[in-house]
Amino acid sequence: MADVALPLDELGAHPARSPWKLAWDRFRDHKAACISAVFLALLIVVALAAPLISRYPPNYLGFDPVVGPSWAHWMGTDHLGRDLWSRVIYGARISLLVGFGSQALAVTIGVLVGMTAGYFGGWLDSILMRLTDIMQALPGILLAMLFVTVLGSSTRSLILAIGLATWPVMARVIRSQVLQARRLQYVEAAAALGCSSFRTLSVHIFRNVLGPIIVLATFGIPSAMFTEALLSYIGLGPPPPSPSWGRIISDAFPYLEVSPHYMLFPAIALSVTLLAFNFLGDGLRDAFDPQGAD
Amino acid sequence: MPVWLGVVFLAFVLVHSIPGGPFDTGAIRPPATTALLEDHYHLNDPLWKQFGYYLGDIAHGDFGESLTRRGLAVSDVIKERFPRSLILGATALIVALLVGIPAGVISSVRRNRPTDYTVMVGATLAYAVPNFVLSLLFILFFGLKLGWFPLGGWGTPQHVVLPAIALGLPWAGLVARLTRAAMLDVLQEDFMRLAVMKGLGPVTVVVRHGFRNALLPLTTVIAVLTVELITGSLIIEVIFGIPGIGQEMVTSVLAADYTMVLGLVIFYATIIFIANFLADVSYALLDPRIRNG
Repeated sequence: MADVALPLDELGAHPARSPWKLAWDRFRDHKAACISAVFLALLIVVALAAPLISRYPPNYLGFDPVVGPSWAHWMGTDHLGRDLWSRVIYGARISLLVGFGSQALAVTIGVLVGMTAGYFGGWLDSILMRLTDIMQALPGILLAMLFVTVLGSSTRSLILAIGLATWPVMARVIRSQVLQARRLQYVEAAAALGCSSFRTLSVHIFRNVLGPIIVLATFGIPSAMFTEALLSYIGLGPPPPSPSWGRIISDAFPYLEVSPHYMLFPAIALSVTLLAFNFLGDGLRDAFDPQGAD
Repeated sequence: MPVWLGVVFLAFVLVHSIPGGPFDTGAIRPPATTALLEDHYHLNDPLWKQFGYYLGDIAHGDFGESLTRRGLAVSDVIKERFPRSLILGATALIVALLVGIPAGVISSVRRNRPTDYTVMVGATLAYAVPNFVLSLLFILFFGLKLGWFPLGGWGTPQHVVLPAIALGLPWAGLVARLTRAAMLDVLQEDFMRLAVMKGLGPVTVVVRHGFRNALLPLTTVIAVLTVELITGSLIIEVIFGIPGIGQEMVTSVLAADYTMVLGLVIFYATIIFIANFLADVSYALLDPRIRNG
């Protein structure tokens, strides 16, 4: 039989594109998300290269206190005469570390719990879901506050506390995703071909829930950073002289009237970062879930 | 109910695993006195037994008294302070709905036009800026620079304005997005086209036919908002010096006043349960499709 060359172009067929390529194409259409991605990449570089960019050590005392922005001090100085620019740059490290670290923890626990509950069902599912019900019954910030009090105030315990307080949301969403994915034909086929439960879960189902996980974690990062700043603001963050944004903002409160720049610079840094992560999350959600987007 | 008990237990275990005991205050007293004190409060009993005592007490409405302020009952503190937090939260809820719903409706009607984009960027902005940053900006501009409102404190209606807006505005952003999404679903229904075709004015069509149906998904949001307004008010009350439950919570956590922290956490959990229950009930009441199964 001779091959019949179909006039694909005339039929209006598209070249095959992988789901990831499709997602990437949709993401590129989201301008705010792209700008945010560039900004956040820059922020990460700045945080990593803080010693090179900061100009002064972040805890060096000895400049005139609470002076406005100048060429010598781009963001002015704080109430103890430290260079604010250097402190804000180093503060980005803490904020990003807590944001990414806590969400990595939350995703790990959430994936383990959610996938186990969704895939195996039965009594295991009931127990795990009651547990997440209990964890979710308390507001995340309150839970994180209690965990920090138990664990002590440090960057590491903030990561642990916020991670432990936010995994139930992840677990719940991942469980419902797994419940849907389980019914997909190729997952049934994998099981029929003799894949072990572990392989079915870790290879076939995981690939399916990866999109929602990325989106959830992207929205989780700014809310973790917000919680970190809030806990630092009320004094439960890493102890001084650690330059956490939340603490700088609370230190600046008494100087609000005399020199608003002291509060404004760290506040802008925090707000713009949170905004960028939210836009990035919007873009990723539209990219991975075109039905949900409008 | 089992979940509520689980929450009480979780909070109890967490508070009891905070390092250090309530009598490690550095006060000098004979070891025998400390032992007596610990005995009196059952601190040397196993944890499950202590939990039993505690449950028995709260069943009688007795949440114990403050560890750091003698003679101050936790339930009295709640009775005195909760009304203030409630006024703040309720006003913030009104702000969130009053700003968020019209913004969402306008955005959905002008879908994919500049108005829509502006409103949605504004919503994300409101949602992303932390409420304590918003509070400080409000204090700076409307309190210090313009002098329109008091910087903090409690007592007159003027004291409520800035904190309520700071607390409610971020959630107005969320409400706007959800209203828009719900409206977009409704606007493409056939009955909407029918309403236009039978000659109703655009306002009537959007408000009477569109918005009434979009209202439904919003009722569940109110339960979520209750939780968010409670946690949000922790920091807002601290910044504006409002003597409510949130401020008490932060003070007690910092002062290691464990009975107070535990009592307040249980109180919060109870409110959240009630809010979720009410949301379920109102959902069923508003939607005949759910009510009649």
